[in-house]
Amino acid sequence: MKKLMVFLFLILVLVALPVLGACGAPPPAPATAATGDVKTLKIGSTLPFTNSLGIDTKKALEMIIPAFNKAGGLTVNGQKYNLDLVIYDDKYTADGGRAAVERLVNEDKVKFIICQVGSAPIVAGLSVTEPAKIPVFCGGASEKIIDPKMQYTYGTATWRTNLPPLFPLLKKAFPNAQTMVNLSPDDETGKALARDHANIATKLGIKVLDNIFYPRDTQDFAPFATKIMSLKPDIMDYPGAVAGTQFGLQFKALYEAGFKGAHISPMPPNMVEVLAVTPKESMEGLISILPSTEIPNPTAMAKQYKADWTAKYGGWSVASLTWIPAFYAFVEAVKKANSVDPEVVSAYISKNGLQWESPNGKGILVKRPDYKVDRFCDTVATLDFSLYKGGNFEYLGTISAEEALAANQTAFGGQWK
Amino acid sequence: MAKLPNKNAIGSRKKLIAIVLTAVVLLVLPLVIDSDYIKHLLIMSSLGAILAMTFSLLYSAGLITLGAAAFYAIGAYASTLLVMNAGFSFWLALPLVVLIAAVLALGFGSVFVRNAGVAFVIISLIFVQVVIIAAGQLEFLGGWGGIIGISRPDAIGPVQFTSKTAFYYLMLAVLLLVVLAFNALYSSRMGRVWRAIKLSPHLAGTLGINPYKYRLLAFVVGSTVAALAGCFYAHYSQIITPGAFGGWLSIYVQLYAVVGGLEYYILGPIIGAVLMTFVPEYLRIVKEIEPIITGALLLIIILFFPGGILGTIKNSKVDPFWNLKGKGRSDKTGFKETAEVGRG
Amino acid sequence: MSLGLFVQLLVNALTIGSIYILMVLGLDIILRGTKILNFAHGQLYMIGAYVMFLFFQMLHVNYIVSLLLAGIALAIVGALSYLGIFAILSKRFTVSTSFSYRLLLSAMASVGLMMILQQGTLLAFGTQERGIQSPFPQILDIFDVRISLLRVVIIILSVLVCLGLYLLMYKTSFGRLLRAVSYDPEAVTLQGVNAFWILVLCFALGSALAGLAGAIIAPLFSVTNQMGQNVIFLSFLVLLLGGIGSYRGTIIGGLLVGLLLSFGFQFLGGVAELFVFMLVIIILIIRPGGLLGEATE
Repeated sequence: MKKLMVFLFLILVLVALPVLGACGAPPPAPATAATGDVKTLKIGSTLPFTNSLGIDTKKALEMIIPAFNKAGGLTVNGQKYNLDLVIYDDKYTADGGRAAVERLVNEDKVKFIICQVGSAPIVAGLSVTEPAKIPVFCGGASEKIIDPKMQYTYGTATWRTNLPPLFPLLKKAFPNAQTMVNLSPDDETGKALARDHANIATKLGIKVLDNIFYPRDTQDFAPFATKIMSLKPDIMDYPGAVAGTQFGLQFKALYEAGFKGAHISPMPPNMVEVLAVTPKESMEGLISILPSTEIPNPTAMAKQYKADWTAKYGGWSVASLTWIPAFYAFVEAVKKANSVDPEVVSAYISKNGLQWESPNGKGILVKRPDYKVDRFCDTVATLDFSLYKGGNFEYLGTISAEEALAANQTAFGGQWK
Repeated sequence: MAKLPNKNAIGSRKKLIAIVLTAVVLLVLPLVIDSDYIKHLLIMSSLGAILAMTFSLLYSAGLITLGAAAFYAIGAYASTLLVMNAGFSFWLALPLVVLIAAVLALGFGSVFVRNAGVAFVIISLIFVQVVIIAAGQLEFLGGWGGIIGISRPDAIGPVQFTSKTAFYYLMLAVLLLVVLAFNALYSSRMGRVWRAIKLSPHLAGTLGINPYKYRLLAFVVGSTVAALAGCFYAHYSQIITPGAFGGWLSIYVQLYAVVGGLEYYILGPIIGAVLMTFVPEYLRIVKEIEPIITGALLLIIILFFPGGILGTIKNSKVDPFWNLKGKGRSDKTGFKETAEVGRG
Repeated sequence: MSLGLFVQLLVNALTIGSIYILMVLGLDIILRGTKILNFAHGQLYMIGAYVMFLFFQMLHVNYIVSLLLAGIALAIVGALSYLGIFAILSKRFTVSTSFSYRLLLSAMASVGLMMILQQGTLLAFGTQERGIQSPFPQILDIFDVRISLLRVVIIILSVLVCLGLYLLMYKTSFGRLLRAVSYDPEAVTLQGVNAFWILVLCFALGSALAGLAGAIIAPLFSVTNQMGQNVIFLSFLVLLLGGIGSYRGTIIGGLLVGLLLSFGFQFLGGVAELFVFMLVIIILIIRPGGLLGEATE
């Protein structure tokens, strides 16, 4: 009998927990009522809490949004709104993303979703957000995001548009480079980008020797390096790599195997993580996007972003810069549409397109006729490039959003505006 | 209609009331609950419950499988390919998948079941990995990115399965069918033979029972039902990826059975699945320490309440409302079993 | 195939193989002694790597000392886990408890332990991936073959650990007791030996092996909280391939899997892993007890 009591007590605790949780959670409705004229706009995000992309983006959002609210929040039609952001862990997987988005849309009733990072969780979440007509501003690389069937989904990162501007620089730095191998993670992001990169490289006259895929959690890159060395490429490309520790392990394995060619990465490497596992020499010849905060004359917005980050977290990490434009695009869209109604906002974008300024520079939403999408869905943006040489990043130049647009139109064809 | 299990199953009025009450609650639930999220969790619970019931079925024959997810995945992929690529209707694909799964289960099972014990546990676990890697590596199965945009089951006449409420009722019906089928199995001669084999394969052998044959049958039945659940999963979630069937899914399935009550082959998995689906979700409020609490709860149940929830209630002499369990009767300690001869 | 490529692939295979061997020896010792199929083994391996990170990278302790500390720390974690969980659980089992019930419950308990260790480490060390600077960054360049010195060290260390284990198991009275307990705990108890503490040590020894494996491999890879989950499935595969209860089988199985993965990947690509799994299933059809084990039941 005593045992039963203990057991019933346990059950009671279990049942009580959610109830307590419901009480403990900030009650949203009274908050709006109490502050009177300021309303709350609920937005959501799902991020992987297990890799630096997700963690840094989470930190960035937790820094930007309170500051944004403090500075007056959103004013739409004379009504002030404070943003309330809910973030869940999507574990960087399809089911994790799907479950998290399901919860955001159906339980938390968010109106917009922003700044998601991984393609797998984003694509999985689309089967929830599209029928619910929730606009998603996200950074994923999968071309499924810009699928013609999608109506409310916008890719705000430059994954699909940053290679045409990059290749001329590569040709300049390595005039004799002829052959390339793609090394990508074996997931939605990697598959999509490897296809894209191989496509573009071929168009620009570089021979793609092989597309090699590794499981997302791979740590041992020696077998890959051995295989790559027997192919003898001039250029190594890493489409879809999470540019952190794993990036370092790839450099290290190639360095140990004796690779001496060029590396290209469309993502700025997280140097703290990379250098924790590999010597500096292994990164020689890396052409990558240079974070907009690290160029000779950064914009005021970029300077401010870095200063805020350093003040709040100490230290500095560039990983979040790739993903936060989604937030600025979302704010700009709501302001321009002059409404917080998700449908009005997406109707506005479909009609007028969108341009925004972020710490990364200017971003322009474009159509993708090459994917048969006649809807503003993808992004071209200001890009800064650098070459890693002698243990330092050497600034190669800045390509403006308009120049990037022109380069892409030439490479892929069609009218993008 | 399947034959009802025990001679006294429907005789008692109390039980009848309990059954009717449960049925009413389950039927009315979606009308009362507005949240699509809760409905989503209920649907996931019912899928988990079916999987856990297949685990219990194998356990009733003395086989511990960590491979429930393998046939779950096979079912999901087979039905997706049939519907999306070959253009079959969902309802036509369903029996085909069952057939495919049964054939595969017979083929693989005839090898796996040869070693009961630790080897079977590990083989079943490895088999899940084989299925996952195959799905990830083979391009026509969608690779690691999986397959998206899978259609919902086709409408039957005016009944659409697009809303969560409709799917909930669909899953309820499937669950009920599986419960009735398993119940019939457990009260048939087959169920008794399984339990005899579990208690002592050698003793059963002396009675002229071939343990291998009956265990293989259990494996085939369990795997086929798991594949059936997989079909519904694929068309419910509309996206399948190899990762979704990862090793931990099978382990969670066992948790359902253990938490609910290992010796209650039908009701145990259902209660365990519902509880273990909802509790971690609600524990999200404690965020980072959720897995620690779930793990600790699991340990507490295993260490101090090894009969699971139902076993504990039974032991405390409180009359369980519904005696729907495979076993004719359990002894007072709930869990003591006779030794397997020659293996301790 | 050139000789250089062959040597390169061989070294890759031996590095991975030796880590699996250490992991599986630990799994096997625990399984045979305490009859626990330890799902938390991967997490013990991960904690070993984190301990290495803590001592070697952050506190700058000597390399070998750090390795030993990782082994000792994991032995303690293992002993505490056994005392806190499995010892209590085993009290519920009597002679008449069926083997399958016993196996299931202890495996599930190890899953509970796994969740706690996994998330505990995550809370303690954060989600950040960690790197350990290689203590042997040199690259041996012999006849056009480039081999990282660290890989050679890893292989040598693994061999040393295996040798040490052999001496412990076959040349000391403790080893004899351990083997006796694995065989029949009742009989050992009847001899007047306290089997309980032998079992505690048995679990501790297995855990220490997992910790050592993690600590040895840590400078070669990065330290993440996912690393344990990735290694455990192949470990089970090697355990089954070699045959439960055969140390020689484990070593042969580990090497075989290492070689198949390394050479298979070079010539077949990612599908190689699938072939390895299929091959193991085929071997198990021919030899149900694994390469050198005996079929049970």
